[in-house]
Amino acid sequence: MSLIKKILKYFLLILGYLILLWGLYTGLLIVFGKLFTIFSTLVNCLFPALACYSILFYPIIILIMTRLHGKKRKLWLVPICFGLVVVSLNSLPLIAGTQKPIIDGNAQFAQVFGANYMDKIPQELKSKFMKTPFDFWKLYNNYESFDCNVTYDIPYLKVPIYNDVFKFDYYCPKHGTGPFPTIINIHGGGWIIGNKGFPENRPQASKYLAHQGYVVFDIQYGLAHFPNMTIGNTKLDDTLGWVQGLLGRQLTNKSYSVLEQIHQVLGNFTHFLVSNASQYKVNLSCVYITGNSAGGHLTECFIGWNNTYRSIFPTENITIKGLIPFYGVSNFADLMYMINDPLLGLIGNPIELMKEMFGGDLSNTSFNNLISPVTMVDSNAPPILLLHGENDELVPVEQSRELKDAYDANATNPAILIEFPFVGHAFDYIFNSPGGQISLYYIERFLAATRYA
Amino acid sequence: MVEIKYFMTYYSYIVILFNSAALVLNILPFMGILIIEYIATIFFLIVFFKNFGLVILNFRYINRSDHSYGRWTKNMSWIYILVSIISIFFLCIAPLMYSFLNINNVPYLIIAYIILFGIGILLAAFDLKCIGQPKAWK
Repeated sequence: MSLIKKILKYFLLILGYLILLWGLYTGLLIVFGKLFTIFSTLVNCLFPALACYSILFYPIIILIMTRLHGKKRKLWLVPICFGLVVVSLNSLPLIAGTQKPIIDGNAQFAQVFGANYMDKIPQELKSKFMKTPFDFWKLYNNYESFDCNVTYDIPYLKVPIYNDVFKFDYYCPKHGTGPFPTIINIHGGGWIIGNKGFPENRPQASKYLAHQGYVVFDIQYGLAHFPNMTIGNTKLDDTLGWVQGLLGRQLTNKSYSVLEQIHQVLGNFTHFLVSNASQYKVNLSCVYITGNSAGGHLTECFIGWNNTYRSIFPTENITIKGLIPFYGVSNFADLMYMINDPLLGLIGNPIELMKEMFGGDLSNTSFNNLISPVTMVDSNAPPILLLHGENDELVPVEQSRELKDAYDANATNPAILIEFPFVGHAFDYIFNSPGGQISLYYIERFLAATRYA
Repeated sequence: MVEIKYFMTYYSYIVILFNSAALVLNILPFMGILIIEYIATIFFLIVFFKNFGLVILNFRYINRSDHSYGRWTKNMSWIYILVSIISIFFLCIAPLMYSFLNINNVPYLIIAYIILFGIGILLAAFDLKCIGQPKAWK
C-alpha cells in the first residue's frame, strides 16, 4: 500500500471515529438532556430532530470503517458495536419519543373534550386535518405547499420619538369571505432576538393553519438590548445586531423591556386588531394566541387578560378562545438561579442586566407576579394547550407543569400539557420533525375542539 | 463459489426490482398519490439496507484485480457509499430548507431519489455482468 493510501486510510478511520464520537455525544445528550454547559443546550435545540436521520447515516459510516480495518476482522467489532450504540441512542426521539406524546395527547383530549369530540367537528374542516399524529414518510419528504394568501411586512405600531416600526405578516385563507377565526403567532428568541416569518417563526405552520381557514398574524415586537454592556472588548449590542441581521431584522432604536413587550403584544396589537377587524377578516369572538419560548411566555401572559392586564387589553371586544404556548416561562421566581449563570457574569452585573431586560427587579415579588403567568390564573383563564420538551434546559418542563397545576387548581377552562420525551427547546422548529408533526396534529384539534366540542 | 454466484444473481435481480419499485413508489406521492406513502417508506428503508448488503457482498467476493468487471464493480460500490452519504446529507438538509426558507424541495428530492436508487440499480447491473466472468471473483 502506498504511503498516500495509508495516510488517507488512517485519516478516514480517525474521521470515522470522530463522527461516531459526535454521535455518542448527541446520543447521550438525547438521553440525559445536558452534557457540558451552554453548547449542549444549543445543540439540544435542533439536534434531536436531525438525529432521526442517524438510522440512515451511521450505518454508512460503520460500513466504511469496517472496510478500512481491512482483514483485521476482530477490529470490525469496534465500529460495529460503537455504531450500534450510537444509532440506538440517536434514534430514540424517532422510535421511543413519538409514542408517549401521542398516547398522552389522545388521553387528555378525550378526557377534556369527550371521547367523541371529533364527531362534533365539521367534516369540511376535519377533511383538512392530519390523518395520523406522525407520518414517517413526511419526515424525509418535505414538499407540501399550503394554499393561502400571504402579505408581508404590514406595520401596526410606530413608536414616537424612537422611530421604531413594528410589522406583521398576514396569512389569510384563499377561499371564503370571513370573518375567520384568528391566530396571533408570537416569535421566540429570549426577549432579545428573533423575528416574525422567515426564517424563524414557523412560517410553514402559519401557512398550514391559514390553509385550514384561520387568519394568522405573525407579529414582531420590541426587543431588549444592552447599549452599555460589553463582553471583553465587544459591545453586546454588536453581537445582538449581528444575530438579528441573520434573522432579517435590525436592532431597534430603543431597548424594550419584557414588561413593554407584554404591553405591545397584549395592548397595542390587540387594539390594532379590533380597529382593523373588518379589513383583515378577523373574527374577534374567536381569537387564539400561540408562540414559542419567549413568545410562549408572552402567549401565557394573555391568561391575565381579565386581571393583571385588564387595563391594557380590549376586554369588551376580543374573546380569547385558547392559548397554545410552546415551552414558555410561566414562573420567573423558579428561574432566579439564572442570575448565577457564569455567562451572565461575563457580561456584567447579572442583577442589573436582568433589571434592564425585564423592566423591574425579579427578586421583587410584586414585579415577579406582574410578569409570571402562573400567578394570573383565575376562573377566567382561557383554555390552554401546553407543549414542552422533557429535555429542555433553557426553560425546564417544570414551568409548564406548574402552569398546568395552577389551571387545575384555579381555572374553569381546561389545560392540556403534552410533554415530548428526548427533545429539548425548539423541538417543533423543523416542520415535519416528530415534534413538529405531533404538535401540529394536536394544535389543529385543539383549535377545532375549543370551537365545536 | 458457484453457490455465491447463484446467490448474487438472485440478489442482484431483487435489488434491481426493489430499487425500481422504490423509485416509483417514492416519486408517486409527489404527484398526489398519497395513499402509498407508507409502502414507499417501507420500501425506502428495505432498499437502502438491501443495497448495503450488496455492497458488503461485493467487498467480500469481487476481485479488484480483474480490470474488466471486478474493478468497476468495486469502484461502483464505493461510489454508491459516497452517493448515499450525499443523498442522506441532502435529505437531512431538505427539512431545514423547507421549514426555514420555504424552498419547494420536490425537484431536489426527486433528483436525490433518482440518483440513490439509480446507482443501486447500476451496482446490481455491474454484479450481473460479473457473473459470467470467472476472473471477477475472489
